[in-house]
Amino acid sequence: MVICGVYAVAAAGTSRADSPDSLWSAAPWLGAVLACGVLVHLGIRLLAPRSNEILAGLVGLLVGLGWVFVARIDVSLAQSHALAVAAGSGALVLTLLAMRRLGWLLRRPGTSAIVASGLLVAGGLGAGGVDTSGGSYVPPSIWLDVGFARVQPSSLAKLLLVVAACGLTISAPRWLPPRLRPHRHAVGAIVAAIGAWTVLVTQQDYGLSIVIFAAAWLPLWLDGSEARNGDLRVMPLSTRTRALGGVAATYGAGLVMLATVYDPLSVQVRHWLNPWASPEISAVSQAAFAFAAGGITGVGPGLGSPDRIAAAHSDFVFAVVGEELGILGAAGVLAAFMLIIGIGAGIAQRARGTNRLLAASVTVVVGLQAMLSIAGVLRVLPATAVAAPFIAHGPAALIGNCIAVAMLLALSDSDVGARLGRGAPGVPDPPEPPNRPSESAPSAASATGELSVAVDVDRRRAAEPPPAPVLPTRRAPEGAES
Amino acid sequence: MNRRIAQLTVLLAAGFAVLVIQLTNVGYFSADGPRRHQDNTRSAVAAIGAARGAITSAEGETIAVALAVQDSDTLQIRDYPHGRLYAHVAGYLSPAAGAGGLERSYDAELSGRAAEISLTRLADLFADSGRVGDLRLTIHHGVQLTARAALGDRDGAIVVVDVTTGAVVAMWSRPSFDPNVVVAATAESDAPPPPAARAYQSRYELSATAQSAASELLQWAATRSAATGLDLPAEPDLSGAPGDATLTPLHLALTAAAIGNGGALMTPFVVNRITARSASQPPDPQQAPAGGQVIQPHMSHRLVTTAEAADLLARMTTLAQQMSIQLRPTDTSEAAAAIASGIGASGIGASGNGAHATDFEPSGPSGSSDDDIAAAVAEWAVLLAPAQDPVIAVAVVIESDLELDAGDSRTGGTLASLIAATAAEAALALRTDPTSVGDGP
Repeated sequence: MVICGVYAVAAAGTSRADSPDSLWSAAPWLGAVLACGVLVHLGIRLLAPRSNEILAGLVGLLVGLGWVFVARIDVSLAQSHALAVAAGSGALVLTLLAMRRLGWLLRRPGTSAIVASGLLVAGGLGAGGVDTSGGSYVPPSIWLDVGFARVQPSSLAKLLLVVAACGLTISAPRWLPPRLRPHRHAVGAIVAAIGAWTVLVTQQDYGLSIVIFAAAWLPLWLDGSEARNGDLRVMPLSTRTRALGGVAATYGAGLVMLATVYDPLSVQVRHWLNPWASPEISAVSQAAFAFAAGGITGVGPGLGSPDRIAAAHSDFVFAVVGEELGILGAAGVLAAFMLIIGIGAGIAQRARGTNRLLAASVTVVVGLQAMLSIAGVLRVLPATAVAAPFIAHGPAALIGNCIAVAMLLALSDSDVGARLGRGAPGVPDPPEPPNRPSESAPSAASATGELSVAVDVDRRRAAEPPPAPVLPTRRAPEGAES
Repeated sequence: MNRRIAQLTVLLAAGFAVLVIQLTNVGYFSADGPRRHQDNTRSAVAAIGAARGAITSAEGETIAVALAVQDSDTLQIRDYPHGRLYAHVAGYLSPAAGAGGLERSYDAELSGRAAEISLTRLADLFADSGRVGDLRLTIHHGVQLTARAALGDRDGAIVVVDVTTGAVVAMWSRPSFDPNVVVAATAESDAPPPPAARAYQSRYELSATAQSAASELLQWAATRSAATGLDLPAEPDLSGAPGDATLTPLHLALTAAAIGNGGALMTPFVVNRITARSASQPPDPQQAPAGGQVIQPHMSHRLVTTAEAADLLARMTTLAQQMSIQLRPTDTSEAAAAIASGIGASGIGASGNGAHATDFEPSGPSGSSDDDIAAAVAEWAVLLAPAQDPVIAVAVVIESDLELDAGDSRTGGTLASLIAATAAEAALALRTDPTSVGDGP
């Protein structure tokens, strides 16, 4: 599938000889990108052989397509983007390896959260924010200039937040007061809301804020576990649902309020509602021109005018796709994203325990990024600096999303059948608190299928405290659902 | 948890569905607005080099045509044989400055993208139909030449309008520009923004002696809507306070036409007919066009009652006769008198006493390079010919920097009247030509 996708990319690349800066000079880098695809394919075959094949193929298609468009927009970017693709591929393979050790990270939600916050702060320090001076509209910038490259530290932060929140559902950071531990879902959600608001105010990009909040809130929301004893004790599900829903609603209200009151944000909203009022032609207006010029079939690859769109290679690459490949091509990209989300959701449905949380949250975070970014380009929502996954230029974003895909691949790999004695790599089930065997009375139905998994976990976690089968407790209330 | 995952997935899917809908909207259904936006140079860039329809005058004179580039099968270059004469009408097409004039407002038809021209079969949705649209204008080449000659080297505008239909027979603004230069310019620095079209983009504050026919005409003209409805782009917002007599020369002509038309103010238009043509065939301007889309005249609104219009018309006729007596002593006015009595025109002239031109910058890439227009004095004249049953209306506005003494009504409007009379004579003479305006029903 990867190779088929790459082939389509190469064919599109050939037709770009029409453009004034010859794309042929970037051909070696195309070769590099293709080579990355092959290597990734091999890596997946080796490390996650039973993983979902379509997912890798789709992502490969989008990445390759993205490279071709970025190279077409600015030939000088061909090299750096190819290197970014290589870095992303490497990160993907490394993540597949590292997923075995994910349990270590899951047990330290506090650390993950702090590191994530640190990354966000670093990104905020370098961010340009919205420039409201001079009357003209400059979109927000969430890039950090680290000398040789401009990265978005937030892309890694998002994934760390997902992991942190997943970890929070099964254990509490040691420094959290015991009284708060049962309420850690709500606490986590509140912290997430505050953090997201802070990001909103400092970096002035609502898209980033929403994604940050979603990354942290989703695992807490999706966690359907009921009350348990000891460290895993949590609020009853219904209370938790209401609390989390309340936090989400509060966040949303705060977001809307800030968008109305806070100047840099209200400028964005005003510009979204009427981009034609701005004295200069902004990227949003140019994107509208681009789509109008593209029509149904597009003007043809290489024949558009992306040079008129600011940040065409990163935030607005979808507009270039719309202009050159038309509605059909752009809809194809949208379909690819939808498929990725669907596959991710399928992986989540079939996974167990924390794996399920991880898969679902990662899928939604990636899907949300895609949706918000494209909505900004299409003027469904105000433009955001969150770039569309895979197709936009941005080394850190690409790496982050590749890591996300790797997580999904690994999670899809581990749930194919039971892996008794195979020693095959896979994500371990979350480790359990020290002294608990099977918890609350598991019903007969719930104990059966999971026992084999519990045994497997036992074998691999011999040195560690025996894991209690969290699954049975989880399955009980959901018996009617699954 | 499964249910929640499913819910979230459905939510995201719904979000993407919205995106698909908006994509189709932006790319197809609502694409026209952005395409025609004044700052959108993409269509110009795409159109340059592509096959394009020709623009011809009413009697078949080529105004704009796409010439094949040597040694190239596919590329064409846009040529304007008459250059400055039709610059403000036909417009220009340039990668740096975008498109202006008819090239912009009729871009879809000229390039063949308009549905009426391109879509005749289902296959045309996906493949280029290879057709372009030719425009045949209501503008008469002979009259346009005469109008330019009459205005001479004075800045201003002259507009000749058909009384019954509102079709524009001639429209000349000075200063003008050479669109061929704009087309050839590759960088924005090479092509400064063309000057505004005085005829329909510049507003002049006009005045007339109180209680005269001229002032009454100005009062009527003041009841106007925000735009005349002309099918050229970048018409400024004409709305103003009641009694505010800042008008464009086009509007002045239309008001005069309304007087001759029994009080009905027509919507002006420049394009008479749009015909589709295969891009591989060269245009044949001399052939009388058939078929295609004919632009029908229609009334904008009723300005005054028929009786009031007839009354003013009668007074204008008297005035013209008086004027020709008055003008007799001076040199230039002899000609004017001869012409005026010869064609039996009804005319009103008004002086520039205290009037000054206020040039409002129209929105869009075209802008005036003369920034201190406000100091100029404007004289204007309006003419309907023939007097008994008007067929054409002429409006002339001249920017002159003559210092006029208050009360010197003799010079007021004289020059403008002379110019108007010359143009009117030409218009009437050439209108007997069967290929002139009046093709449609």
